Amino acid sequence: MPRRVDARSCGRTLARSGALIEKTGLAPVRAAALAAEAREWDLFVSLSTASAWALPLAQDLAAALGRRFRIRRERCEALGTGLAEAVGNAVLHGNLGVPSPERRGLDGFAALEEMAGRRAADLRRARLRIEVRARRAMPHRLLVEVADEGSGYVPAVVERPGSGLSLIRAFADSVELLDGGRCIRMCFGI
Amino acid sequence: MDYVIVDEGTEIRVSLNGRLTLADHGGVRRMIGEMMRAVPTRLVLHLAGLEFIDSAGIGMMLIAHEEAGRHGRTLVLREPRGQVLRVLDLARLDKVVCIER
Repeated sequence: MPRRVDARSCGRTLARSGALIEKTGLAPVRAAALAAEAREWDLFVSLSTASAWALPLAQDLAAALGRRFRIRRERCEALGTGLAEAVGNAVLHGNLGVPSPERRGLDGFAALEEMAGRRAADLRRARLRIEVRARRAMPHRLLVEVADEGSGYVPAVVERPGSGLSLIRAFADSVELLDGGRCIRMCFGI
Repeated sequence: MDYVIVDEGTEIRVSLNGRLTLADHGGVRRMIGEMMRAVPTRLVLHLAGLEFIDSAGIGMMLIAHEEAGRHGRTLVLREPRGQVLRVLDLARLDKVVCIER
């Protein structure tokens, strides 16, 4: 399994530099390309799925963006909610390929947890990357993209209230699904 | 997320603190198990100390509600605030679970 970025260094690095690229398991050429891409964004993260699964990534991202752009608390909560859902979907349903539980109740819950843990330990899936990119779009707008390398996603025609995507739509000003659902682009008022 | 369970005699009050997210599966399973072993049949999740919830957390609330029903108990969500209140409203959880504001 790729070496994980630990939780302390994740929060610190994001607060300090705005770029976090986990180089373990990356070819030098790809690492250089990611470093070049990172310079085009205010915040750029590229992690293995193993690390993204183990870290409080969405929380650290929202805190780093909140501090950098001095986003007021209510808007930061909206951003944090969107990030939690988008990163959670990218890791769990995207790269780990865990479907939404068919069985409900405690048993369905336990089955989902067991499958996610097993797949996070599977080298092929653990190596897949999660990227988060953010850029101030206008004085009071923040563009955020979360991308995975999973098999894509087609949203339901009717979204269930309280589903991840429905919460993102409620908290973000605009939402687009790109690359067959492997990338979500969200815009937040800040 | 952490929680404290207090047996009030007429009800079980469980105070939740911190963030309730995808990462809390195991903790919530344990919490539901402990709640169902208690004697009082009215189970109150006190949410004033909960700062953040995501869609997985909403799913956990629904499971707690279903488990309560299966064990002949009633679940109440009390005093959600801020982002938690907004997310419960967006999920229309009040159509399923009793919410005391």
